[in-house]
Amino acid sequence: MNRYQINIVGESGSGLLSTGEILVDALMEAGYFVFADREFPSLIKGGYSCFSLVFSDEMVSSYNESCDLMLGLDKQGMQEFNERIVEGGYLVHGYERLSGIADMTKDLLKRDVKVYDIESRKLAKSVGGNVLMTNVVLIGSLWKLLGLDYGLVESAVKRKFASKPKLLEIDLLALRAGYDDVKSVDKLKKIFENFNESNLDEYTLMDGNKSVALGAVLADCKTYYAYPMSPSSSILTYLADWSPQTNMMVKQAEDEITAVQLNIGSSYAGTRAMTATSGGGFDLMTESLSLAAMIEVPLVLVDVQRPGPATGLPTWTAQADLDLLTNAGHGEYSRVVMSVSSADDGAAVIQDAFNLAEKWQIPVLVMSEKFIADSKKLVLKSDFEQIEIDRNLTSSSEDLVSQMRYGLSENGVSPRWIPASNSVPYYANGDEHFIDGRLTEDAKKSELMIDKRARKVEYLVKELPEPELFGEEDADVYVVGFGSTKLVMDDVVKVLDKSGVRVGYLHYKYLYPLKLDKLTEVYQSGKSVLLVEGNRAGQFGKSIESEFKRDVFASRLLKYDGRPFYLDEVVEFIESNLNTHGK
Amino acid sequence: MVNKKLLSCADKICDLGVEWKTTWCSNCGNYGIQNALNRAIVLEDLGLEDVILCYDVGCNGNGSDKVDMFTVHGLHGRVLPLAAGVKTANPRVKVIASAGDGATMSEGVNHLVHAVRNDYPIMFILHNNENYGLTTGQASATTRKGIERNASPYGTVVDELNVCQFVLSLKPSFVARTYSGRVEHMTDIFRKAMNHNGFAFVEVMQACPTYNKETPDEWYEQRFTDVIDMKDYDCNDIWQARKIVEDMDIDVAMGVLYENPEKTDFLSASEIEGMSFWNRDMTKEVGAKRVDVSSLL
Repeated sequence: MNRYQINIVGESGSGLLSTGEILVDALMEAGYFVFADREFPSLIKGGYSCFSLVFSDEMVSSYNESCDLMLGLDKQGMQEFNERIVEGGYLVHGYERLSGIADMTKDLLKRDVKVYDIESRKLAKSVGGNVLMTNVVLIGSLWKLLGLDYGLVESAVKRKFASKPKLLEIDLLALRAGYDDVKSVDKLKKIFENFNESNLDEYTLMDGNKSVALGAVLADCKTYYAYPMSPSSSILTYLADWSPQTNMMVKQAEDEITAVQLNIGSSYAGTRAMTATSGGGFDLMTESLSLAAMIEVPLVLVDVQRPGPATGLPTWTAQADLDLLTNAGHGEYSRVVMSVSSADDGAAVIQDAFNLAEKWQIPVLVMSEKFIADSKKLVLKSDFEQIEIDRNLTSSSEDLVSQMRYGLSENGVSPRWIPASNSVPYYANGDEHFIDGRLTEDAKKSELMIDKRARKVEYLVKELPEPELFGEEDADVYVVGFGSTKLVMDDVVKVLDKSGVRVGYLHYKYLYPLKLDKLTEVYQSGKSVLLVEGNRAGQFGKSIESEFKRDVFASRLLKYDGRPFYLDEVVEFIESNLNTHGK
Repeated sequence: MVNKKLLSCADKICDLGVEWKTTWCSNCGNYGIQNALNRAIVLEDLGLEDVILCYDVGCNGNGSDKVDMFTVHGLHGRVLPLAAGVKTANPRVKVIASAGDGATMSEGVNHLVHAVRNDYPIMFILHNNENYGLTTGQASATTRKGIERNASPYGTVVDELNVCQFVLSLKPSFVARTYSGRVEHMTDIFRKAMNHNGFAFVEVMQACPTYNKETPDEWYEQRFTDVIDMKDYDCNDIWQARKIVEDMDIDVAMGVLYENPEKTDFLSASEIEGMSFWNRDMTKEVGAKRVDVSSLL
């Protein structure tokens, strides 16, 4: 696949997000698939940020630490990140006191990096602009280097600043000044000669949190309760912003315990409710998780993971809460743990989670990750259709008696009806209870009820689909993963295919309970089975091997430094682990 | 004085009772409180389809399956957000939450602050028996300083909290106090609280004959001062209310201590572009119409 990566670097607050957005917009207009993500520290201003953007003539969903071209918005950003420019790459910057970066420039030239220094401040001022417009000048220069149609970037700038017509006029002059300032571009232009443009009308650019929020709307979730916590907070923002259209009750609670209790109250009362948080907030919710399981109320919680323990790395990514979600809450009961893989499936996963939670009257815990939450990729608009809603509610009050609410059944699920919707009351009791919810401390009855609630998962696992195999069915090597591992694997499969290595990626959407048939098939092929997972212990791998009752993975790529899996490191890992089955 | 209406609906009140035995101590204040609540529900013509009772964990919570109504019995300290969630989903239903002094003033005191601040339109009965009865009589935040309790063998060493004073500092919309020795008074206060369109806070000073020997019903009976009998008491004047609740030793003020008709309840305040949550029944809305998100993409 043809791909090209641009990193925009600068201090947080230097405008790199809007710079990145303009470029992403213009590249999409040019007909290229894009993928973008932002590394940033947990503060509002200062510190260094890096906006990574990849464009390609195929679907793209990963990036590398290193870039082909760097756009330096300030000295600090360049000094922090310049080593990431590949040998033979490019640096475009607007820092005018060149003596201050002489050492850096010398190092870059040694690595054959071509440096374009643009007098961005001078150019901005020459058209009546100010220092804030230097970024637009640099966008113009960069666009000239890319050799793409000027009209595309011009209209992207127009869209970005449409609400500020007076500034837009000067911005457009600044853009032009930057564009005209770059003269020779032949070498860079050649890189794009092989690129094909695509019609992207069926796609839209989306981050994972938006996809999750859309899932809540599509699931016809009526109430959303949450406490702000990075990286889950933008779900709250999206849903609050949309509430005039969706009529959803969106409530910022005073803490995570409150959020989950409001959720359980609304769900018990008979509507759909959702709550998202990150690991620390989820910790606070665990006692309530246990209550939902006990009174058999559907509960949908989303954990957008970041590295822990404690405050950990608030603005970085991880896949390390799997063991927590699988085991959270005291006592023994059924649950489902699912994972979103990207903006592609966020909406579908959430809708699925609601149906499972209501059908089985259990907690369904959905994992996402900071990398999924914030990274933007192109998604098919048609993937955002409503899936049929399954509430599994008993509506008729005929023949209903209180003793049916928690009645013993083969699969553990009993009739559930909306409280106060008829004259057949029942007790939703957090104390151990028998079939009508009345408290019991009887040994036999307690055991029967614990069995009833635990039994659900034994039945529901039979209804879950096997994990999906992406890439090659008959592969040379198989990789197993979950969550955002799919993002990088989608690209890995394509890249390795070019070099003649057929990769099959077995993606788990349901992490608990586990389906093992497809994995067994893959394992029995005799080819290497590898694990790619974003935590130190290899939690998912351990869980699989413990269910599988033998070693499965020839090798593990485990990453827990807060960074997502980079394309090149996964390619390298697979290449060095071909033909290692059984080792 | 015989309440004729009460007599006429005695059957309905009896219907709310259950045949199995209760698990409270003899002379526990919960009997009176439960009796008064059942009376109030029936006197307000509320039936099974009109009320959801929400219980915290503690002695009062053990009454959650001793009444023939829809009840939910949640976690310790968490009944207020649970009840607010119930109300939001189905505003048609009267939501009545109960919790003890341990749950309200210690484990979940943050929830009390925000329930008052949000003015969730629910009724809340704080059972204040000045100790943790169900865990065998430890001191609570309302146990008076110096009093001996289980695990405080030499007497509690820190000041107690004055519940009404605390709530009145939070800009509440309805604050009342009563005590478990007078079923009629409690019934009257509960009825008023049920008809308040916001967070109706009712503190019931509750007898605990097993662990609280210091302030039994008789103790409160001797100090009972109904604000309704006080000339010039204006229950819309927060400063009078804040002053009068200071005294917890000589004349203990009871009745509706404060009411603020100006405050906007949570569901009204959350109105989006003229669409009131009061007119919603979210329990019926799910799946009622096909959802299209194309305008949000």
